[in-house]
Parts: sequence; C-alpha cells; structure tokens
Amino acid sequence: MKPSIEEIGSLLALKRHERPEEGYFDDFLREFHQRRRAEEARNRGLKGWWKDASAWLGERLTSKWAYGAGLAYAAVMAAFLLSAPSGEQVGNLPATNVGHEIRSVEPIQVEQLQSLDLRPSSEGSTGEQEF
Amino acid sequence: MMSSFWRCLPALVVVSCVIVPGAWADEGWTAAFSTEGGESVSSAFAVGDGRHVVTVALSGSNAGNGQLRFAGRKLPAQVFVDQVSRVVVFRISGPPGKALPLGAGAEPGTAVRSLKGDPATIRDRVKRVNGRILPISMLRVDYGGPVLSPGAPLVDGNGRVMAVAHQEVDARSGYALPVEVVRRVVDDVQRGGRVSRGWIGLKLKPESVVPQVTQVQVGSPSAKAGVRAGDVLLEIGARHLEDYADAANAFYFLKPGTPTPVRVRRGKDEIEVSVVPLEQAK
Repeated sequence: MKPSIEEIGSLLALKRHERPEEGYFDDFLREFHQRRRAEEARNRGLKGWWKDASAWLGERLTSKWAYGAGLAYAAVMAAFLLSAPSGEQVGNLPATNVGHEIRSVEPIQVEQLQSLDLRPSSEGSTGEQEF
Repeated sequence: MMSSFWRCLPALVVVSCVIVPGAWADEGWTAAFSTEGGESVSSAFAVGDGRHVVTVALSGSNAGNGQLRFAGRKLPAQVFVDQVSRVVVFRISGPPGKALPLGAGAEPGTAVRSLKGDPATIRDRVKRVNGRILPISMLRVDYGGPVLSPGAPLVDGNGRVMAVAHQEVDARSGYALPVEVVRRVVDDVQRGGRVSRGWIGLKLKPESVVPQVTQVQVGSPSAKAGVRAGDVLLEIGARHLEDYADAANAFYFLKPGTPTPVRVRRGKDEIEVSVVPLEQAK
C-alpha cells in the first residue's frame, strides 16, 4: 500500500523534529579515540619498532658501512651465543671432588733487620723490638 | 829539544795541579775487606779533620779487618765499625787527607753527582727491602752514569756530601746512606773513639700500624721521663714519625747522654717529654 501524500508530509514533519538521544555525541567522540589508540597499539609491535628504529638510524647514519658494521656485530654475537655450551651439556660432565683444608690464619709477622744486610738470604727478627 | 821541555815545564806543573787532586779525591782512597770468596773493595773519602776516612763494608765482608789504601798503598789505621749501618771509619795517624764537607741531608728529588761529575738523582726514601723493615731508612738513587761502588760519596753542586753509595740494586740504581748516618758515626768516633748506640727502654711491634709503645722497661730512661705503654710516638728529636719504620730510624740517631724531646699521643692529648738515652749494652 502506497502512503498518501498527506501521510508522507506528516512523516517528514515528524523526522524534522527528531533528535539523537542524550550523550550521543560524547559517546561518539570517546569511541573514535578508543579505536585510534587500538590502531596505534597494533602498529607498535615488532613491525612498528623496526619502522621507528629504521627512521631513527636513517636520520643519523648515512653510510651503508654503518649498516654493514651493525649487521656484522649482530652476526658475531649470534654466533657466540649459539656456540656457548648449553646447560644440558654442562650438567652431563662428570663431577670431580675438590680437596680442601681449613687452616687457622697465622698473625702476620713482620721482620726487622738489625743491620743493613740487604742480601735476600739475610734474616731479621720478629715480635716486639726493644730500643 | 831540552830547551822546549823546560819551556813547557810550568804549563805541565799547572795542569798536574788541577787534574791530580781531583783524581785522588775520587780514586785515591779505597778500603779492602776480606770475604769468603776473597776480597771486596769499597771507595772511601776523608771527612772532618782529614784524618778520618769513611767507607761502607757490605754484608758478607769482614768489616773489622778492613785495610785502608791510598793510591794503591796500604796505610796503617784504626778501624771503627758501625754494625747497623755497615759504615766503617778509619783513623789515620799520618798527614791528613783532603776532607769533603758533609751536607745537611738530601730529600727525594735532589740532584747529586759523583766526584767524577756523573749525575744522579735521589729517587725516594726506602724503609723496607724485600718486605723487611730497615733499621735505618735509606735512599734509592738513580744514576746517570755507572752505579757507584759502596762507600763512594754523592755530592751536591757545592761539593758537600749528601749521601754515600751502599748496595747496587740494578745497572742504573742503588741504595745509599743518608749523610746524617755518616755524621752520626763520625761524631761518635771523633768524640768518644767508638761507635755507641742509645737505649731508652721502649718496646714496639713492627706489625703495628702506628708506632705505639707496647711496653716500657721499669727504671728505663723512658719510664723516668713518663712514657707509658699505649702511647703513640709522634716525634723523636726533630724526626716526625708515621709508622714503625720511622721510629726504628729515629732510635738509631739517639745519642747516649743527650736529652732528646719525645712527643707522644696519649688518648686525645699530646704530651712532650725529654728522654736521656743510656748507652746500649753490647
């Protein structure tokens, strides 16, 4: 059934006075910012970090050799870390008993020469000295 | 030919008068000491009235039977030995030799020279050798020329003796005795005809960080002066003490019968007393 001209006119008049509910625009703004932050967080992952680092290095290092040196350093460090013995390998080594003895510490005795006999074989006296 | 010789004679005499005494002062006096392997020869030099000749007999040599020589000729002399420093003084009865004046003492950094003119520098004071405390602080000398033989004097720009070479350390340095040690021994020999040691009756431990008195002998000069066990020695005579080695060095210079000011720290107080050393029994 097609609406009549009067009905359409009434409907348009009704729509002209229609308003969004209270707080609609505040919610819209909040939702907009939330979505924007979520998008930024996704970009901040490994890809985002690499992008930032590249941009930072690009500002400072113009030489291709600098990139080369950095990559070489990273390769050497990776090789070093990969070649280190694993905990499992160390754990499989046979245990060795280490002999030890606890001794009481003797007080330090300082020698005093009684004459200027500077030969290495000369002996001085220790303990209290009388003058 | 003969006439030209007579014409040159005055010039030869003048040249001889300039050169020969210098050579004699350096190489004229020597002293020989017997050792297990043979003989050790030290340099020597005359001091004071010219009838006292000083040298050093290194360890291992028999200091008491030293023989004085001048230009290779043996000279009869009385021998006095300080067993602590190994300084030997010969007293001659013949005509006096040319005496070298004794200086005031050399501090580290002082430039000195041998009698031949080779430069040397006093590097520092040595209180220990091979970890052992010395009874007298010595000097370490860096030589610009050859290391001097024991007993050779090191003089300042005015020809005053500042130190006496002792034992060689390496090809460029050696130990030397401060001149005050020589003065101490020579004064004793000239005045009393023997080498004496002062005794004040204090006991100290070499391993102490500070020179603290551990014991005072009853009736000793220190006890009479009022020194107590526990006192920390700060000064003996004009010598400032920082450690045990400084104290041992200062005790060497005590003269029997000569009042000596001794400053000590007792608790928070500093006290000065006068101690009259007795002669140490041998």
